[in-house]
Amino acid sequence: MTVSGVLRNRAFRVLAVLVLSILFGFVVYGWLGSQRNSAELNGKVVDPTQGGTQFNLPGTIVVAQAGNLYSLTNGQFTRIASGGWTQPTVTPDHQHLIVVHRQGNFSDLYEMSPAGTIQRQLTSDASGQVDLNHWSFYPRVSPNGQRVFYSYDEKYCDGCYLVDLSVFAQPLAGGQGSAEQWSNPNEGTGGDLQPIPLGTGGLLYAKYEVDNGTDQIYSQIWYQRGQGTPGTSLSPASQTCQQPALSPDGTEVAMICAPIGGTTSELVVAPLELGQFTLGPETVLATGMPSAPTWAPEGRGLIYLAPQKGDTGPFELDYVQIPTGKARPDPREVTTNDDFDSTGPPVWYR
Amino acid sequence: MILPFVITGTVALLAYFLPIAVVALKQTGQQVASNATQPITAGSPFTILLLGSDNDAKFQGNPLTQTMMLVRVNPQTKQVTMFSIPRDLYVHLSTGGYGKIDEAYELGGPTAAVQTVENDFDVQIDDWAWIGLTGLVKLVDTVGGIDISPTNAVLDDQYPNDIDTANPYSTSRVAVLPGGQHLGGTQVLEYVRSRHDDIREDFGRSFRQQQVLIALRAKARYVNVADLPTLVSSFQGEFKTSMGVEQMRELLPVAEKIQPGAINQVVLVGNYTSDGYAGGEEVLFPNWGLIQQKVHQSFPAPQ
Repeated sequence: MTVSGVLRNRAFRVLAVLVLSILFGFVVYGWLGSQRNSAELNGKVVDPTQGGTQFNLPGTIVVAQAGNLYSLTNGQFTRIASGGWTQPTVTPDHQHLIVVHRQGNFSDLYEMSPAGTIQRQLTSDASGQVDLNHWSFYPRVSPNGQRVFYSYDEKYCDGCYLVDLSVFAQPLAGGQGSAEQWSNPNEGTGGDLQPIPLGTGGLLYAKYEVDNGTDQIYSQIWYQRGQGTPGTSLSPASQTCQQPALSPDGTEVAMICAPIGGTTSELVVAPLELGQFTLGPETVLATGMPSAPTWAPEGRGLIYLAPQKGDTGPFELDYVQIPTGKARPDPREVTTNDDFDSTGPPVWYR
Repeated sequence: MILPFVITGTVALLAYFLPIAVVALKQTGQQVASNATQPITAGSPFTILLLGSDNDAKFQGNPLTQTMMLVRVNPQTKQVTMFSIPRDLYVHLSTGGYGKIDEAYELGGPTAAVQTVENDFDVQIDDWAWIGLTGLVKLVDTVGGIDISPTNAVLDDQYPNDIDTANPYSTSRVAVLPGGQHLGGTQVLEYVRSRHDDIREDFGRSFRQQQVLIALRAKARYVNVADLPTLVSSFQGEFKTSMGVEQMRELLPVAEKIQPGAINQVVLVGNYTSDGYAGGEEVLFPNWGLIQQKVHQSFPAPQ
């Protein structure tokens, strides 16, 4: 039978239509599946070592993603530690990292080499009784390299409902037994966070309290001259400000501020005027949901973490240069699809 | 010639949306008696009562509603009001007698919850939606997590460890740290459920619940009709509503168009309530004069 003869065969044509229509059904099903935004919804988060950066930043940046620590040099990420790691900081001589290791009901501070080799455990916060475990967060080493400051939950009493973080400090070379409490938190607010020890011996941190008018909890950048002293607010009362980052020369503070009860926040920098117990006029560098600012080693810009799509999406590394004159800040996305841990600032050193 | 293609195309459509159809029959369109006299017409303002429960392994039957929130949506002005109802509010229950308002759902399901709120707050509720603990976790995980900026550290040394556990009476510790971050379903549940360390107690939790709802709205722009089977099938009985699937589909673009600045958040802090004891429990006594005045600024009284 010739080809034209086959096509004229009625049985064959029916069979062909059936096969094609079934195929069409699969195509329709597949097309519907392809219209899902699941990839957009779930993000396309990848291991940072699989990607890279949009442009190179000088020096070394250490940042956490899903409990793993990564070192970024020359636009390439290298994983240096895996599982439970967050909130890295670096000693002033850049010879050691101090990192939080969080697991289950507690977290501890560890000292590790810049390559990720664990050298020492600095705190022992685990307990067999759930509510007697402790948290240690936000480590920061004093400018002279002698002490490590961090937020720690001293218990109000056995079985208390209330738990708040206070700023503690202990000798970097000593143990937790010699830790001293520096601040007294306002009860039921979450406490005092993100300490930054100053070269003068004083301390900056974010202090939380309740606004009696709106019943909102807000934070202010707080300054204490020394251990246990009452301290004073540096940031404006109309704003909630947190996550202070001190410029390398100690003259400016970057922080995340928002109107009390507001839904968007800003990354701002302001001159630090400790003599007058205040911060100078703010310059807004980025808006939306910026978090975790860190100064560039030479102090002319900042990296921070912000949602990839502006208001929703994985948190990515962004860079913004401090504008000069009347120039407008121009934030630039450094990475994509990495979803970095934004609960603590990255480390950046040269 | 075309008929077989129409048939197989239709079969493919049905197969794709089958999960929605099955769940739709079971979990949506559950009408209850309410003051609403007519169905919502497209584009007109409407009021939804959102209910959330601790439906963990400790509970049998209808659970208490830890979350009750009235939401008024005006599609024309693209404005939303979220009005949190304190769970300890001591009210007249539609099932009879007085009790905490979170007992209404336990005693009489969604009908009692809707009628209690309608009667006490003098509002008309057009629809309701209920979500359980794991329902919220699945919802957040299915949309890929949400971005949120906790104002303060949310710490809890006695957080109920009652999901996927052999001992639903055990506890664990929670620490959700402040600042912008991307949270998955379990962390979001911890964030909205924890209350032990918040000096504002249930009021603080209400602020956080509204914050999560606003963050979920931001995800609406990435959800389309083809995503609904995955979304709906993920709930597995952890979501019930009086709304039909078509009505929910129509809500997606409305949610997308609403800007955060157009969302009015109301939590009854201050003179709206006073602390007290009733039936051996700590309760909040309502100041109905002030409350209804506040409610009627955004939620019309029944006609």
